[in-house]
Amino acid sequence: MTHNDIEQILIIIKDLSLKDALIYLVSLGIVDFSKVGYQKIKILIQNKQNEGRYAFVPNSDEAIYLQKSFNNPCYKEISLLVPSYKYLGLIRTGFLLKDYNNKIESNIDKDKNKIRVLEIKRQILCRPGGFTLLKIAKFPSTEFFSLVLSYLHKLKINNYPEEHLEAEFNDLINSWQNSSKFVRSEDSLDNIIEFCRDKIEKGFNRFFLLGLYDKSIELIENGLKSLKEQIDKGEYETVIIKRESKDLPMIEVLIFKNLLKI
Amino acid sequence: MGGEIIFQELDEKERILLLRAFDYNVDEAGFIISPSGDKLRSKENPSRFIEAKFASLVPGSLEVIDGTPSAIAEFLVRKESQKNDS
Repeated sequence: MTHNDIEQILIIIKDLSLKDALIYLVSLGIVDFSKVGYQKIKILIQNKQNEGRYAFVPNSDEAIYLQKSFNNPCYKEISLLVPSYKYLGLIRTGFLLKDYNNKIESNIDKDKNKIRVLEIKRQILCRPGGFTLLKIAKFPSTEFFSLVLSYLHKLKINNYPEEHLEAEFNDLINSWQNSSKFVRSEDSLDNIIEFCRDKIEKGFNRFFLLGLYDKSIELIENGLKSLKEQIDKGEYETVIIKRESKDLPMIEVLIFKNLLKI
Repeated sequence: MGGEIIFQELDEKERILLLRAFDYNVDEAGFIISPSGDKLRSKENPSRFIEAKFASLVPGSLEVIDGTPSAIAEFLVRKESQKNDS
């Protein structure tokens, strides 16, 4: 087989599913990758298998965890909100990374789990578009994942089409740092007001505040009182979600323009 | 990303080609050879080697397991007991 023949095969199988690519190769009489020049075909087949739904090759325990994460309430919610999102499998990879990180924080097989997390991230980064894929996989580990779910849920209630929810989700995966503030107890009221004013003046369609524990919650509530006029003038809606828990009181604030209402 | 392949959907030749893409091989008797050159043993029944025609893949993974009905049953029992132990 000439170099050109191999290049032609690569062009053909590039857009085929893994199964169809294998069938095509077998139909050409290719039964292994030992011949000169077949290395490129082998790599393409490896990529097709690895890119599967999780963007890395899980071991058996991880594969079982990933399958069971179908029942994770957050996964159920996200798959209801954006059922056609093509990276839903990667969100489950994110749950697995979160689980590993929780184990590391709890000193459960710390070194072993750290090495595994690095290996999973390395495999994801090696994929085409790996940087973006890794961002998606890391998203469920952030404090803002639940807040973004709340926001999408609110949009769904307001009858936004699924395509809009998916576009918002994609955009927030890339820009949540820019449109969210995690308010810490050492923040000042001015910090919060400044953050919100900046977003309002720049015409952001949505921005979010998140606070844990009483001091941060109080700061956020006072900030919202001070900003009421500007928020109303900017025709923003505010949704406040408070969780009154003794161990971990929390407040999530969604400030957004209801474009369908306008 | 493409969908996840179900190993059992593949005919034997395609199955073997996929295994070879990941440096597994199959000997003349049809047993799977690991990338390190050893015959692959069934985890569920270590006295048995895995044949390509009965091999299965853990979904979403390239971990080869014994796909005979009895081995699959043992695999599920083992996982269930691991879950109960944890």
